[in-house]
Amino acid sequence: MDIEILENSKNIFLDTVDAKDYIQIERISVIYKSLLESIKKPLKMVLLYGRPGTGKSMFLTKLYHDLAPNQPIFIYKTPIFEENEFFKTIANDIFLKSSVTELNFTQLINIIDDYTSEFIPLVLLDEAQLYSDSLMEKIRLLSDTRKLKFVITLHKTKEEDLIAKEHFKTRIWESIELDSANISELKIYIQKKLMKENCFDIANMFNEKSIKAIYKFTNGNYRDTNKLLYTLFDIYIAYSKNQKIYKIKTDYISTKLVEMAAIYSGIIK
Amino acid sequence: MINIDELEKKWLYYKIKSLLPFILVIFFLLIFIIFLSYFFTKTPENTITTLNTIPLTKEKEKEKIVRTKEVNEIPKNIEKLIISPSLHFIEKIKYSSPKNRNSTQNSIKIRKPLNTQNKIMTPKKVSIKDIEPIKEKKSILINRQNTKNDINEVIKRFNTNNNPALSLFIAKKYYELGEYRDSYNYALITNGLNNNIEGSWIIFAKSLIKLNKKEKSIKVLRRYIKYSKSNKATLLLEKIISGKFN
Repeated sequence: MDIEILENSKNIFLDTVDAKDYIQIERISVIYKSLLESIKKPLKMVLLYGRPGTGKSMFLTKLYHDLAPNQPIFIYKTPIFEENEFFKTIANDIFLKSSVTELNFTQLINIIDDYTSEFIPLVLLDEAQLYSDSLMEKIRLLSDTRKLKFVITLHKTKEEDLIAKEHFKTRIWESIELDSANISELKIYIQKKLMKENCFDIANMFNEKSIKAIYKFTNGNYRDTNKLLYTLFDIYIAYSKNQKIYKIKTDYISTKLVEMAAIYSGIIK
Repeated sequence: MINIDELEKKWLYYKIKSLLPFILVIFFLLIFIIFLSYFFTKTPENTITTLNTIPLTKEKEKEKIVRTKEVNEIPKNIEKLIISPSLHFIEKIKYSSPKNRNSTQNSIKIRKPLNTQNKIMTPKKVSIKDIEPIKEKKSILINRQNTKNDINEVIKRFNTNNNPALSLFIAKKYYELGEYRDSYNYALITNGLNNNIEGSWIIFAKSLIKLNKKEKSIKVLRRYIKYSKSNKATLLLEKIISGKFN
């Protein structure tokens, strides 16, 4: 087994959020289309929620990538914890109002009131569960101006559900939940990811048994799957470099290798 | 760089740990199966002995039941139907002089009836009234043939133990010898000792025929058949009625 191919396969599963790495799965495509429709509506806010590793960030990135050529859209992948910093960033990026000094909320509102445009800017906020309650309240007020539209992602936890209800109860017109993949979706995800990079032989190595083993340890979580497969190919590389490739199956991904990857990556403790 | 050997060891440990519950379950299942097989291979020996004993005991019980039935059934019937005949002509014959008899005939020694004979009770419902127990008062010495010597021995034994089987044997022997009065008498004695003995009824009926008491014989047989349902008695009755038995 060629080490170069193994290295390429390994890098495919690097846990990065890149729109070009987006893998189209039927169920997710339907959800994405409904999100696109929701944005077209005169909404103030759309809530995208789900467990960590279900593809919220990828979703947001994909949305940004698809809409950016046609309308003003701004994505903030990492939260801006400082309120003044947040206002300054908004004013600068969206309304092209740079400020040397700090900018408070009232000043930002004044800037927004003066702004006129054909298109309502869309602001994508990832990891919104990290924002403070105060800032979340101000984001709500900004959406009330109807001069800004927000799509926020939130981790699905009991507490965060509560926050979402308190802050955005009357303002959320659409809430979309993202779920982990099922076994068949996981198989499609893995094979499509490999085939996208022309790793067809590697993609064929994944049979039902190996997919089942991967699902057993990841439960369809994309992040965990990426982590596991990255480690899996790393193990293959280690066997190859140590001249011990004869010890393992090379025509298909064995359950043993998947289990070893799970042990090494810490999924099995 | 991943240490493959160490990772393989970790994997092996993980595999054993994950399979341990299954191994334990299979292990205990095997133990259970071995125990069961041992238990079941052991029990057949006991069951055979018990099985062996059961039928035997059952058979014995059956025999007992049959015997008790036989004893219970017939006595109930025959309690009411006991031979207690008394024939006047027999009395006459017994006490008649020897010159009335044929000299070629064998002389018959009439002996005193046993005390048990007096215990014969007439049935309440069924009784042959004209039949009276034979009372022998006088003993007549007779010359016996050698063939009768064996009867004497049996008679001696019977006198000591009162075994109805012996009296029946004597009755049959006398009948064979043509001594119908004696056979009649000993049949009566036998019946008095044990009224369950079918043979005593048969010999008694046959003796009556030989003594030209056909009607009496038929009557006795019918009474006996009514209560005992005896096939032998039925056959004899048919023969008597049809004239095949004289």
